[in-house]
Amino acid sequence: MDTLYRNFNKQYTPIVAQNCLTDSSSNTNFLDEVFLTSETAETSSTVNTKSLGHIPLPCPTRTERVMVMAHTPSYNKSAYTQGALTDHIINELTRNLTLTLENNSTSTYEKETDTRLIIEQLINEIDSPYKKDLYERLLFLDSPNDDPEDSPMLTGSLKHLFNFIKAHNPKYPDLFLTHDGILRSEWYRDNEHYFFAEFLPSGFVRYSSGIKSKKDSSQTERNQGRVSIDKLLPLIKATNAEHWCIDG
Amino acid sequence: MPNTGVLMDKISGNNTIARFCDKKSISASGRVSGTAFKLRPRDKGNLSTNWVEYIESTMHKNALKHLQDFYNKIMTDTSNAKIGYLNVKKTINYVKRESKDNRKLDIYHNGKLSRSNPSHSIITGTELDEMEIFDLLAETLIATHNF
Repeated sequence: MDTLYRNFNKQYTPIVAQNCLTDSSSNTNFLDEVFLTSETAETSSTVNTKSLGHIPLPCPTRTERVMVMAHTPSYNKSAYTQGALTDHIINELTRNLTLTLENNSTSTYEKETDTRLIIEQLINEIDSPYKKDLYERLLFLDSPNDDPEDSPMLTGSLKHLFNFIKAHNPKYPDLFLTHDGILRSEWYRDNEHYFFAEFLPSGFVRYSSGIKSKKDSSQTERNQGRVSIDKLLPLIKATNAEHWCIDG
Repeated sequence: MPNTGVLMDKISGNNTIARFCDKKSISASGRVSGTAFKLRPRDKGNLSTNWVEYIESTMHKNALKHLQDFYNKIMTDTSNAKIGYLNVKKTINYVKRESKDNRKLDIYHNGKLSRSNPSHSIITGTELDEMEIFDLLAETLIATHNF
């Protein structure tokens, strides 16, 4: 939530709320759709990026003033009334968004669960010479993202990576986290010898590989695709990447 | 030309563009992974970069310092991130030569109308989840700079 606060306060993550409605049974107001948005670089206008669904708005504010709004240096007013947004409204909306996000387990801004605990459990299940390095790298990848819109690590991806390590004892890969929370394992020797694998929560692996051509050494044979995780080892072998990916 | 509704100019080959590389796209040894170039859905097919020579010659600023300040404002943390530089001609030629489908990328300046990011530029010609292209882009980095 600190991320949201910081970026909101920095005025680089404006909030656009649409369709302020009133629930007659509880007599409370809520915003039908709220988007966290980014100012597009080319136009300074806003684009929707993340829908947060319904946001209760029990703050004491005139509802029409927050029907559509953005808080940026260049645009800081209600599109409905054309009136300026006060700090009070912005603070109240921010607080309610924060509370909603904290209570909404499906929010992309929330970590699914205590990933650190799962990392510790999984690391104890493997017997590997790079156990300590792996643990430290995963904790680093589990730390807050540079880009507040990026997803935290997905535990499904983490578990599939560990399953592969346990089953096949690969050489220690360079590990990365993609913006959508996927762990990516890169066995990289040079630009002509590499195998990269992204462990998807679905049990599939997205891969990209390159190896110097035996027919023409000036060429690198490159491939990319998607296979189920049980096909990953045969694929590594088939692409002749075994010697820099797998021990033994 | 991508349809963004904004006037854009193609950036010529001898120019340089910069890309923010977040800390989780950088290996322990400092190598930048293709994940730094992975398109996000919000990118709508346009990979965000900044035109270095524009910052220097039109905005009259030190490009690296300007980019560091810019990313410091929009990112939560930049302490372990890098700014990667790519040469336009080398990038386009390398991806065309090395990709399986001889992919043609284009690089445009589209920051003309932006007050907050006038040096903004985009790489077009990639799609979501095209690992091969993102990995090739990472291979074409000519320099990386710390914050």
